[in-house]
Amino acid sequence: MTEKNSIVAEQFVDAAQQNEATALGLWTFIATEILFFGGLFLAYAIYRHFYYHEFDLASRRTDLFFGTLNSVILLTSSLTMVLAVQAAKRDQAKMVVRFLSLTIFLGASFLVVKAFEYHKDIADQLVPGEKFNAALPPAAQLFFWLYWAMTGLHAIHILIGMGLLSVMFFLTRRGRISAPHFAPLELTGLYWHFVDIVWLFLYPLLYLVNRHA
Amino acid sequence: MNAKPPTQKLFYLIWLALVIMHFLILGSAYLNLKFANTPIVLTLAVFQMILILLYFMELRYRAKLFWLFAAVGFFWLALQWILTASDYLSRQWH
Amino acid sequence: MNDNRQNYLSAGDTVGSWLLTNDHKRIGILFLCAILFFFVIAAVAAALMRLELLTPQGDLVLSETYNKLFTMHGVLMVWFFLIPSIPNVLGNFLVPLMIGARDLAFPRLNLLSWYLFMIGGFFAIHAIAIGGVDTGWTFYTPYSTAYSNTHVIEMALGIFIAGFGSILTGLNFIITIQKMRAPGLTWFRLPLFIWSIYATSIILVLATPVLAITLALMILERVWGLGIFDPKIGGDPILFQHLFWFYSHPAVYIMILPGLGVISEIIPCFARKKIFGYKFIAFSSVSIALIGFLVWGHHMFVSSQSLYAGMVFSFLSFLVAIPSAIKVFNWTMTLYRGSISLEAPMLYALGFIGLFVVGGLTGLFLASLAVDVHVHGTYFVVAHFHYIMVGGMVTAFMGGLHFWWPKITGRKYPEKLAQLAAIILFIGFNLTFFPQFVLGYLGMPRRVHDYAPEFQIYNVLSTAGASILAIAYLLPLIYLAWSIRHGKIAGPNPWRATGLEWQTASPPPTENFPATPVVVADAYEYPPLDDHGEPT
Repeated sequence: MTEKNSIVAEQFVDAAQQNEATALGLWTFIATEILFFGGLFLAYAIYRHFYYHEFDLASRRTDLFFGTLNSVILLTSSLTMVLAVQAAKRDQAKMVVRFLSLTIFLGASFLVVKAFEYHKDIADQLVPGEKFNAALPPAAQLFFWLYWAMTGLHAIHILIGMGLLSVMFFLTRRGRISAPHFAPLELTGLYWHFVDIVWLFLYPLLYLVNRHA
Repeated sequence: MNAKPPTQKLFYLIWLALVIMHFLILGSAYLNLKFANTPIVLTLAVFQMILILLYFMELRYRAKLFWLFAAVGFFWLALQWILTASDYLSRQWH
Repeated sequence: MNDNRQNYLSAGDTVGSWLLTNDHKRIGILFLCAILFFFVIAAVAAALMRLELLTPQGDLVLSETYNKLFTMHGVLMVWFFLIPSIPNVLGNFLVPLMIGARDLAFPRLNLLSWYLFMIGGFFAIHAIAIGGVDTGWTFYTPYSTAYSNTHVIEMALGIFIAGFGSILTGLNFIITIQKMRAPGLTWFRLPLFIWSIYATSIILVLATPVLAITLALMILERVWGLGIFDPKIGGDPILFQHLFWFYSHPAVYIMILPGLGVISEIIPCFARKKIFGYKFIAFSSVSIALIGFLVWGHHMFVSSQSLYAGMVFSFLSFLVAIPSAIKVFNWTMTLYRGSISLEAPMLYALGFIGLFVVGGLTGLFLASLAVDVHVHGTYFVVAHFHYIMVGGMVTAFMGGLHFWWPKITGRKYPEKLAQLAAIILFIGFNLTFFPQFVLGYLGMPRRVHDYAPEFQIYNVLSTAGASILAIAYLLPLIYLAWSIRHGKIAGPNPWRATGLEWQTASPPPTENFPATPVVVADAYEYPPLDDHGEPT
């Protein structure tokens, strides 16, 4: 246990209680995020059930290359995030910075790829509304409304994650992340992995409704 | 949980498994497996999620209380989905 | 103050020391002031509505204005008064004290909750000030998304932001209670108020995110011009209701569970008797939290929801009444052969039991499919939920405020005046809302400002009752404020109650306890009573 109470906040009895409480707190927050995204997935499930054919046609218009590329980027960023936390546990601040930089770079790449993808989707007239692609049935707009809403919400979470990662980057550079005190980094990691998990479900549901016909 | 602490190698292996599963998901979508396509793809996604939860998010090394908190969100979603389905599947809505 | 020691009130008197505090006790007071503000505005809206309803014609305000009044009343009362009331005022103040902790697990998050609440409140009030919203607090689609010309987005945004404060509060309480109990304080030695706060926090954490996404989807559809609730592209407006009520039904349990917890604290103290059936009451709180998530479809029986789903939801709604009934039985058994004294907190608690039972039983009427077809959308529903939320929750809040007032302020309130106010409340409340059961049964719809002439007598009675109810709320406002400077000094434990919060000074020092307490006894260890009901 640490003797220096400057690291343990005064409402806590000791560092162990603080670590348990903050980790459990973040898992509680993740539970709220599951319910938050869950509403969108529920809407998706209902409309896919009733409009399978339209969802089928619509899903084929998503860009599989961009989607798959982004999946690999995000999975790799989860790896670099984990390695950053492991480095912090071993008190290797330089490695932490290196892996954090990689994670930030991969997160930024995700957003850049997404920007290209969105640009292409708009050019393909996949935005629901008056200019929606006339070759697709009206209910395909349900699919794409959900597509924009779900990937958009996910992208906002990636942005927030990038913000957290940047804060961790600066904290580490200033020596505030070390072997006894890396909880903020660990919690950021938990958040980042959760956002990755959401994407793991978005990908098959949005890009792979029917690729074999 | 008192499992052995994870090694660097383990994390790289998990990553590899995740990426392989990802291409399995993609590949399976190109096969005409009729009604099995969706369950297969979602099951693989669930496996990916479990790997991340257990190893990247270190649930494997945490007390059971953390597993409970992790599971609760999904359990509540299941409640929401089942009861909502009881409406949609029993009326001629479409 | 009482003695020379610093307490949380005297530790710093600048505006900054309040607005930037991390002290859970000060944050509780910040919330108290805030919800009072919103309560007054919402009460004024109610007063205008009741004035309008004195006559069958719509002659005081336009229909559009009336729509805005009941929307404003609902939104402010639900999200900016009731939901934060006991949890964010009494919960914030008492949870660390009751478990022997120095503060909540995340004090800065607690302050953030207050700021999110205030920012959300600002947007809500601003939306009202620039013209209001006319959709009802329920924001049903497609009216809210496609046809209303009022400030729906800003109002929804305000609720969305305040909702995040709610979530953080629930998270804070769960972790605090889970991880920061004093040595010896096992789960089954906890005060039942803590159990009720924990159960409430489960709902806060799991239900509020669904409200957030639902409001976001509604806003998005309104902005975009089309969306997933829009039949033009194949969407279902009822999906909005499913999502909305998945949150909003559990929300009503957020608006009663803490009150039930307060009653479980007051009754043992003023009956001088250990609570009857501790574990049953504890588990009933958790059961209500769980089963409460499974009944939302009873708001949608006549919405075009499937009949079969309706039957399932009806059955589950009957189930959820059972744990509430268990509490009432246990309180009654606690009172039986107790040594009862009728100070104001006890009067409020007894009033609560009567009003809550009426509200709860009429809930069962509404849970019956066939009856609901008749009374859905009528004043019967309005009466039902006001019996629970006002007759129940607000009464419990008043009881709890009085019970813990000496702890919070170090002062006693004037007892006779308080007892009078409690009695006036009971009379005024019943006069206001009982006639509304009759109105609903006879067929008067809710949310209308003109009505058939044969309903007038009941409306007049209701408005008369409302004016008496207003007095019952104004009186405590005045004497509680007066007591802060002029009330008799209270010692640490003026009620001779059990519980860790009474083992420290009134008002408590900032750090709550000079040394961490160690718990060796169960809760409610009041000394046994002899055959005559006297303490031995």
